[in-house]
Amino acid sequence: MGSKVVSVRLDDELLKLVDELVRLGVYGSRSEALRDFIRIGARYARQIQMVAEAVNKLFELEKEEGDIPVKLGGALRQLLGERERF
Amino acid sequence: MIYVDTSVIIAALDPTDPRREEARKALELHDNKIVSELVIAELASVLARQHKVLISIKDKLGLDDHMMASMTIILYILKRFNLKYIVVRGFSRTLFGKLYNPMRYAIELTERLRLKTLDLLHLAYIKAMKEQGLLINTLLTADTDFKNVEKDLQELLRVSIELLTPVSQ
Repeated sequence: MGSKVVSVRLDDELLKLVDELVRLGVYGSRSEALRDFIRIGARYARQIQMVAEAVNKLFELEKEEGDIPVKLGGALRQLLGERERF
Repeated sequence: MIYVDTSVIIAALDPTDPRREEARKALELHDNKIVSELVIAELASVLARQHKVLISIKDKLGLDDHMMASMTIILYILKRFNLKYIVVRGFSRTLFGKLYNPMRYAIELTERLRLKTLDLLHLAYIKAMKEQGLLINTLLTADTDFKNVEKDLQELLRVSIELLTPVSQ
């Protein structure tokens, strides 16, 4: 897998955190720390992408089934009952 | 502008409830509908206990887990009924210390309204949103407790209640 060098402008606060983690020995270098940060962010972004695609699929399901594809039997009684308790 | 209570959204999705069609019509007919983070939290709480629904949606859509299925359903519902989520900001200094504004308003409203906590919190969110400049004039709900204090709500918050037809017990 190839790699490329990317220039990124970081604010002072983030750079301070990166340097502190390098100083503590969590990461070997700024590059290593930032690569890990991006990997963690990408995992989260992938989840957002999956959810966004799933929302579109629900609209497609609604078209196919001719009705909202989420049916919560008995849920209103449950919700109002809980509100009475608290 | 209309604040939509969780009960109306749930009613629209509950095939066993006689108010379902009325709830759907109300959600589809009105413009300028908003919800708070409390509505989203209540939806998540209801969905978390609908295991079969979550499993079915997770499997049909190829999602990783129940949490993703729940988030997907909530986002779909917001989009489907054109519900805008409003972020409430701000804290206040009180006798108890620093309080999130909706909590402060909920405590203040207890003096006039003898309501349960979650009902009070919805009204507190309406008050906080109005303080942010939103022109909310209606609370759309299936919860009869709000209707019982409508006069006070008109006076305190200048909000009227649109109640889905109550089901006779």
